[in-house]
Amino acid sequence: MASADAATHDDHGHGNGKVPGALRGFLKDDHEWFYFQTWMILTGLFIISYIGPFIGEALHMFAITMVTAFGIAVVKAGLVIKRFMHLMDEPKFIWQMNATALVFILLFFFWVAPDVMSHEGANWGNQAGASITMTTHIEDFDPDVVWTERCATCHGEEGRGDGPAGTAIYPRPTDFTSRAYWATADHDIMATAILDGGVALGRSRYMPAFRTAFAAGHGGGHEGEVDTLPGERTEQLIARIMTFRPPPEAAPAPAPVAVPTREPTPTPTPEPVIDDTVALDGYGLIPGGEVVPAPAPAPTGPSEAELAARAQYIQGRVFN
Amino acid sequence: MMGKPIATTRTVMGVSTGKLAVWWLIVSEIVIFGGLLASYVMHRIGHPEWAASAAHTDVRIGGLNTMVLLTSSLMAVLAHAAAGRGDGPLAAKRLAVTIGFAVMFLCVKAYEWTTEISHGYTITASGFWQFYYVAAGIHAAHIIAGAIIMGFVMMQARRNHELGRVELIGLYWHFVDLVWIFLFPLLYIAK
Amino acid sequence: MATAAPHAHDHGHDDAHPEESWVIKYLWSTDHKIIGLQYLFTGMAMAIIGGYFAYAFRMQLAFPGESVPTYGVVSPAQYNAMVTNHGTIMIFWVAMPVLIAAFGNFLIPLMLGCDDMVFPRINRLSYQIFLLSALVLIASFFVPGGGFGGAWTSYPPLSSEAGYSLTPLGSTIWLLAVALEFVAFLLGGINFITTTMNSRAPGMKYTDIPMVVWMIVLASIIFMASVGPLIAGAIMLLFDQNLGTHFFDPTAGGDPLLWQHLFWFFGHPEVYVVLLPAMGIVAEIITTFARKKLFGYKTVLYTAIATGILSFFVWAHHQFVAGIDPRMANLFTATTVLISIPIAEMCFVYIGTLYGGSIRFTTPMLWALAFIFEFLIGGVTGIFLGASGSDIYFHDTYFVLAHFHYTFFPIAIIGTFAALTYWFPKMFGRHLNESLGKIHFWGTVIPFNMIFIPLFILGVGGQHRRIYSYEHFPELFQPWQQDLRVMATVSLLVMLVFQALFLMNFFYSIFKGKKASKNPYNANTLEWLADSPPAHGNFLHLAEMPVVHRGPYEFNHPDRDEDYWPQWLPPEGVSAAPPADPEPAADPEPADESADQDADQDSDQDSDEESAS
Repeated sequence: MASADAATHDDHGHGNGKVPGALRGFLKDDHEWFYFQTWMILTGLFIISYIGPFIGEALHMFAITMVTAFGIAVVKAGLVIKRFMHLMDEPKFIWQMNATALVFILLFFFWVAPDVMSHEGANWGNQAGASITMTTHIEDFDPDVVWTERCATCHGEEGRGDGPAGTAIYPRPTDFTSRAYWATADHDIMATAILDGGVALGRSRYMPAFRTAFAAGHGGGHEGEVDTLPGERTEQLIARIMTFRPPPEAAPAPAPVAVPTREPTPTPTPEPVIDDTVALDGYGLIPGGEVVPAPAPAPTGPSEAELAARAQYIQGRVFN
Repeated sequence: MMGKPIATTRTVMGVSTGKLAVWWLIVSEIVIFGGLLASYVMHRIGHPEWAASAAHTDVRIGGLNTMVLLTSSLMAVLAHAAAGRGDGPLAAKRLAVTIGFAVMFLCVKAYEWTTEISHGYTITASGFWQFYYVAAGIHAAHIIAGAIIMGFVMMQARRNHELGRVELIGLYWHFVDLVWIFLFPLLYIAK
Repeated sequence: MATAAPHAHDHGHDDAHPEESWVIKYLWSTDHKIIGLQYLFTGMAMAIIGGYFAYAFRMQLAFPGESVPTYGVVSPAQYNAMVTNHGTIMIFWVAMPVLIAAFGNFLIPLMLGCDDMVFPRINRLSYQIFLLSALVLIASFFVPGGGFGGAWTSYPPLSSEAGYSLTPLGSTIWLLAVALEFVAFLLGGINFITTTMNSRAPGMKYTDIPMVVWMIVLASIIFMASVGPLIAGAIMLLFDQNLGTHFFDPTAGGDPLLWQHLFWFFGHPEVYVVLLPAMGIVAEIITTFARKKLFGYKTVLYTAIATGILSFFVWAHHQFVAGIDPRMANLFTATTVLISIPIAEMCFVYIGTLYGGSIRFTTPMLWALAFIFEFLIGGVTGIFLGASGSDIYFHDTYFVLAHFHYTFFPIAIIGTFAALTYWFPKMFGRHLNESLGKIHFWGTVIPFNMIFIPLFILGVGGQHRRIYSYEHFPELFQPWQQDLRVMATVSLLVMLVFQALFLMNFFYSIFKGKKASKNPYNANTLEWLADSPPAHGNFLHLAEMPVVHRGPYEFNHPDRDEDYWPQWLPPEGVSAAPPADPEPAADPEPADESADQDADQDSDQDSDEESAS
């Protein structure tokens, strides 16, 4: 292919026999006519890539858009590189070094993408990334599908708080099969948690807010009109969650503070670093659902006074 | 200025020193734009919700700018052809047209951004828009730099000086065009 | 072999390089040697700043809360800023400018037989941007809020949110300084690469290029190919800091891990960017002072290229505990262990070169040997950190810190001293004092080990990095731990005192040292053909530009009485032409077809290098 093209290239030597008369004033020789032809091909390709999305939309085939967009971009790039930049006429190490740079970028893409694109795995989770994806707009709302796709990653398919991403979170996601939870939960608390996230309750910041996701319209971004859809959808989802509720016992366990999540922070200070330490101490690896005693310092651990001193120290270190 | 050192006139690899340097420059640009676009693509795939923001880019303006740059690339390569024949003044004229297209590109871009920003799609509006402005902005910075350098080359070419540089600035210009060829589908078409 | 380049006549010495005023000659010069010296002195000045920071924060660690002489009480914010900028300065403003830019600028045209770089004015621009970046960095210490304190890796959100870093201006200016510095090295790198590819002396094949030139060029290529994503990332981070974007902010859809990938995709190749030039310097010194041919020129070359390729495959071993996909961690463990193979091979080649040589323990040779010894310790301790299993324990402890310094100190300090003492006669035309040099050598290397071996022990004991004072951590404030910290700090003080001795020796010898001849070591490479110090234009005043006839390490050739055989000597003095003798270059001026074929051949050979790196 390269040689055939080089031949044409050479054919365009010096005369101007091939240049159409109308363009003689503008294009001085066949060489320039060759460039002009290339430009016309590029224009044609551009038009195809421009109308591609319209065809794709009309036929409901997104693949057409992708092919016309990126396939044609590659063809156009090839034409520019070959016919305008004359890459193939240079010694071959020139394209080799450019190709090497491209290979390194591909390497970068494929070895970074697993971390940036994916938000959960077998034993790990990228909660921040996942919560963003989880709150993407939902077009056709089905409580079962939403539970599986958006909730079960943390709360588990059975609602036990043991989803793959949930195992890495402290405090642990709520276990909906635990009686202790239902002793304190009510409809409003659940609705607030779903619509405005755990932060609205002063609980885990890993529980995302779904208000925008449930909203009508394009969702996300700037079009957050107030509508009734989020409320209705939340009701459906709460009904779905209620199916996990265990049957009430004859004598309910007396549970003073029985929510296995972080207590509300009274002061509105910006998320201090200490919070996590306290949360770890208090709720570390206790499986969700059991009645958790108030976070008392372990007997062998540092004393209360020492903890306070450390907290004060860290505070000083952060805000000095 | 003193004469060129002997080192500059040697061509052990069979390529003129200037062209070799421009190709290395392009290599370094490939990794800059490549890193940026790779980051964009992996975010875009990982965040389906960005499609909602991407729907607001104006494919007509993007298409217009694509044609402007493709045509400017044609003028750059025609200038190279003229310089290859030793016709400095014609090369300078064609470079001037190329610069004109560059200015046109920037004007269209300015209009586009003004419209978008006035509709509230600022750089902080969403994840998509921040990549949109950074990628197109870095590209526009390359257009500006290229146009300025092209101005200097044009002044020299008009006096038939350093005609080899017409090809070098052309190489750079085609590369900037190439980047736009990929930015256009990434930012405007794929929704 | 009358191969006089006709250009030599066109460029009469007086026309091309007229007498210049002091400012033009030393501050505004396009002469590659002056620019190299400018880089050298700027790097030394920055090393003093970085060393002073090390002194201040080591004193704080050894004697927490007490006033440090000449500094005063170190506050936590100042501690963070000093630790951060110590790292930044030592890597970006000392190791890179001295090892690559200073010696690259000084040596490449001389060793290739050129009169200058191919783009002298771009070269000058590169230094000026570098100087500007250094000034910008220094300015960042004095802005309100103080210097940036988020570590040289500048992970977001610490670097992107002023609310966390509390240095709204400092972090931005720091980032700008780093970005300017990258621009300077990209310009310089293109110059180095192009000069080496295109402007070699007639007859110099790719296996005749001195190893240090190869290494600097490979380093420039690695730098250029790896820094791009970080430049894009730096722009994103700049916007995160100042425009309120959320590229790296997870609460708004960004990903802080992406910054870590962008940074380390550059950051790990960067280790090899500074390592390879040091390896090249050591190759030059060892062959000269063992009076022996390099044991396996092509082995070193190909392993260096292999290192360069592999260095792009290992970056995430810095992120094993950062929340990356554990399956990727396995992959990166494997590649990291792999990369020790080519590096070890290079060390074996150097040891093989020493075997059976007639070794002269001059000061440069001592530094070169110390480089191999100390770097091996650094390399071996790296295996624990490259394996993800053990790294989870060692990560962010002083073990990492000590390992890192056992690699970078040999590279940046020992390598630099080796090169500086070796090429000092060529740079300034005078000799350094040997006895003072040896005292300085032992006074640096012994305290160096005394600093970092205690830190290895502390690290294995679990001492966490980036802690301002261990007083509040009783389990890290045991007497034995504090004793080790004091020992490290005192050793540092001793080492710094010996550096003062070196500076005295250095500046005294520049003006008053023993005069040096053209080729004081009887070495082979082309820079020893020029005067000491070489005039502007290097070889232009000679009858003809040098032509290369053989490889750079022809010591003790059996057909020759003298124990060295310079590259520039024509082979006529030999009774029977040795089979290894390269065929004379067809014609130095590639105006005709034969030279073009020559060039094609070269390009084939060199294309390996391109695709490699």
